[in-house]
Amino acid sequence: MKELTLGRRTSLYALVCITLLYSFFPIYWMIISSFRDDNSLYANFSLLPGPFKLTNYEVLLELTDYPTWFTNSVLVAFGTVCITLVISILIAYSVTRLQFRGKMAVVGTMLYAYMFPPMLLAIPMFSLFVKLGLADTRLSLMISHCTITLPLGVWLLWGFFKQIPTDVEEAAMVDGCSRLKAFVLVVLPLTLPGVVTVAIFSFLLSWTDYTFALVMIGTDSLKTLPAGLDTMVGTYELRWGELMAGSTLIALPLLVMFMFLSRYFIHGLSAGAVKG
Amino acid sequence: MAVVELDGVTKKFGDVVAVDAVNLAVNDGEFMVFVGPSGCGKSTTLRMVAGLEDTTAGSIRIGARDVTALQPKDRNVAMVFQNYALYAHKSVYQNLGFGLQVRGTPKSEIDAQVRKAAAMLGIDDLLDRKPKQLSGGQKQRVALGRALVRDPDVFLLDEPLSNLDAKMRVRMREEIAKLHAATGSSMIYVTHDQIEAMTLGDRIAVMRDGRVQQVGPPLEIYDMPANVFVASFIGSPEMNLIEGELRQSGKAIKFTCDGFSTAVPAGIKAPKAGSRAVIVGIRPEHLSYAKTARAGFAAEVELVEQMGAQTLLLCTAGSAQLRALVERDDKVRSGARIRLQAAAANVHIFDPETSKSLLPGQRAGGAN
Repeated sequence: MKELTLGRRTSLYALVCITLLYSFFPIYWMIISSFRDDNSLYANFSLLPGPFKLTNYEVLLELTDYPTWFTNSVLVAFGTVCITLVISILIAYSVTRLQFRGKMAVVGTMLYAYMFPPMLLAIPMFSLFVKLGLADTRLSLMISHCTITLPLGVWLLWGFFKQIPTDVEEAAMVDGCSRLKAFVLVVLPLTLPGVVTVAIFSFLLSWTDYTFALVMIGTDSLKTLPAGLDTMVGTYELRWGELMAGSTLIALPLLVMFMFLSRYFIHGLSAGAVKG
Repeated sequence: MAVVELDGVTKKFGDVVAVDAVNLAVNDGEFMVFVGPSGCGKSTTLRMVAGLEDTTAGSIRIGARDVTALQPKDRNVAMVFQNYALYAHKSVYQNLGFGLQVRGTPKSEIDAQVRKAAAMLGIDDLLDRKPKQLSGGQKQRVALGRALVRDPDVFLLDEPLSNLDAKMRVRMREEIAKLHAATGSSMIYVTHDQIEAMTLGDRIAVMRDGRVQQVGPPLEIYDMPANVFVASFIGSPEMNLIEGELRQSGKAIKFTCDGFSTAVPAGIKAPKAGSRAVIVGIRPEHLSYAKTARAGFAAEVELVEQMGAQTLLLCTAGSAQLRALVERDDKVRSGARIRLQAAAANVHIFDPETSKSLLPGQRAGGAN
């Protein structure tokens, strides 16, 4: 690789710094605001962190439905991840390995669903759920999240499964595995980065979704975090402190997840991009 | 160890017949080589033995069992693939032990078997490595070792050396031969390389267009090719094939074409109508400089290729193009006029219509 001159390197670093500042300032502001009381939040605020108070968090966790919403969010997100993984692995694998009529149509139509904005899908889906008696349930929210996560999962994993040479699987079958066992013991471990990427994407999508949550869920006790937090924005008062604390807590699991899984995630994305 | 019998084995992909009613028996402990150009059905046949392809018709027996309908895992065969097909996420040790592990073999026995196979292949110091840390030759050893630990009824090898460089290929070829000698197992080996086939096989099955053309020991196939295809495919440089006719001249029967004539082996029947069209085949190594100025026939050298111990001459005699592999000749230059001769016993005669050999005692058509 070519050695960069000092000037070029400095400007590159400057560019990175500006991008970082732009992306991270809102997050920084969210976190420090969540620890401030009303006085330092509205009147005498400074750009530097502090003073640290936990009042917002105490109010949020003790006086609002936040813990319930959190539980709902966890349930819906994990449900979405599970459904997405199982179905997209099955579809992607059979599309790459089995010969059947119209298999490209399956993959093609899945991508169509991905092209519609969530709002467009949400309303007809809601009326469907009403007919099926599923309206206003967590399951309905999981299913609607899957309309976005499934096409993505199938496309990503399709690229991964295509890369795995069939003879590795055949070697496993000759070695004594059934097709299913060969898949679980050999193919799945080799596509782990792809599987993890799909899991993270689905979790992220479900965890941060606001549109579907707003349309599908009416009952307060069934709301997920983004929709629940929204109910705290009253007509006459804006409780910024608690909102910031709530948002910080929404972001926390994502941060932790990325810290541990970013290795797979980056690998998964780049592998899918190059060979998918 | 077991006998492998193919009985009318056929494979169709849609309307395309990839393997056409192959009948073949691989004896216990035999090294059988399937050889042929790409698309001849040799790999498909092997994959049907492994159970990786369904048979459209016919049956396959391994030992006393009819395995035609069995899953690969139930056939007790081991296979070595062209691209090694190692499990990239497992160490060499785990790769070797995988087949035993999924069959529920106790750990202590797996360990013993893995170490025995690794020692045999000289990869005992690589057991902790991952496949991507290995060279091509080492990967192929691991692939062989994976087959070896299982003690299968039959080893199936699908072009195992074609991804290696020329030098490594020769070394691994020797190792596979040694391995076969040491284990005494039945092996079926697929290759498109006729040198591998000649050097490794106890018997060779030459295939083309899904059919077995000829089965026999390497030298028998070299000496007595059953048809034009086998004659041109086995042997390097390729056999000279020239169209011409057989004629009775006095008592002897001679082959004549535009450019030269040569004696034919004893036992060729005299043509009924005075002459008949044939194809004659003479291997380059069976052409030599004529001993006297009147023997043999005249030819003009077009191109000289020095190969070290031997010299390959590309010559023309009339309209016939001939390659002659003669003993090293430092002086010959292109444009030189020489005389070549071939011993009658080394001349092959084929029917131009059926392309089958006309020599007596030939098992024309091979096993089919």
